[in-house]
Amino acid sequence: MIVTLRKLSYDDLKAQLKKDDKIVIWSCNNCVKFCNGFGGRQAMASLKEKLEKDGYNVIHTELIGLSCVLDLVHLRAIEEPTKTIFEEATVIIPLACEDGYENLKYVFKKKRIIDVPLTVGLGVFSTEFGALRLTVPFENTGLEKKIEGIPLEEVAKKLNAHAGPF
Amino acid sequence: MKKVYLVPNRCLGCEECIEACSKEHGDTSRNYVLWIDQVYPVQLRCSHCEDAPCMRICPVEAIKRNEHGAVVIDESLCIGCGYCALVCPFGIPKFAETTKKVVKCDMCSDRLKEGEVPVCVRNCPTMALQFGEIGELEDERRKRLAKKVLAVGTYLREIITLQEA
Repeated sequence: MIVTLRKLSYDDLKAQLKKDDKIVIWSCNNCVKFCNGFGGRQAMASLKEKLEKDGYNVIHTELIGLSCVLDLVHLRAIEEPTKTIFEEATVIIPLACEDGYENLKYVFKKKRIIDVPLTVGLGVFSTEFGALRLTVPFENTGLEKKIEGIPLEEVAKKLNAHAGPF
Repeated sequence: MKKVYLVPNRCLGCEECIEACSKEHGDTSRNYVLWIDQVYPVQLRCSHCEDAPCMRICPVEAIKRNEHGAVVIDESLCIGCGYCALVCPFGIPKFAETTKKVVKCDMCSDRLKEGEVPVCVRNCPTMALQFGEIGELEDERRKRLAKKVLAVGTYLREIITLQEA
């Protein structure tokens, strides 16, 4: 599956938000859930809690099976109950891969989509390691293919990014 | 009778069926995704059984089969005893704390009336959920397999012809 890290730390994220923003936290429930819990229900809930504690207005959390399926993203924009919510929102925080981020930008053209994801390649989940590991890095990462995979913390360190949930 | 069937090897466990179901019904989802050994997702939903144990056991006859063949609960009659949940071989009926009634899949009967498919089927990104008659779905499967067998036969014929030449 796709391996995605975060470009932003929690403080970097806060710097891109305003207190009067109406925030929607958006997450896939597939690859990113396995990326050390970067996405998924729990990651959304914990980010919502953190942001609300810091005085931000999170109006909704939206879980989607796959953000890389444009039709599913589009359904959220045109069908209730999410249509009204997204009309009201001013900013969307995507816990998705870069493909999902691009789809969000395409569908919600008038909304500010925070550039969170850094997609670094393909990975393998194994119960032996208990976590997803990067096996086929994208060329621009400068990392080498490894059949046993590279732990995401190590990848994040090398690429000056962040692994796991906010 | 048309029903929702799962093609297990297509399911990614993305739970879009669950999200779509809860949005459609305005409350909790009526289907489930379970993970076996952290790796294998299994989607479970009401099978609208031909001889439905839930229908047989309901003491107030709140569970009936509707015009679409779906086994549905009449909420106005349900007393929330939960017997249907106990006898269901798939553990599908769910006790709703808010209403104190049991809820289960109605195969999106409102959507069926409009000529649409159940929302879990529409939203499934990998087409792991299929809506149709079991016979039709089996026919399709046999046709797919027949094409593969034909392809193998063609390949073998080419090899044999080459060897003979």
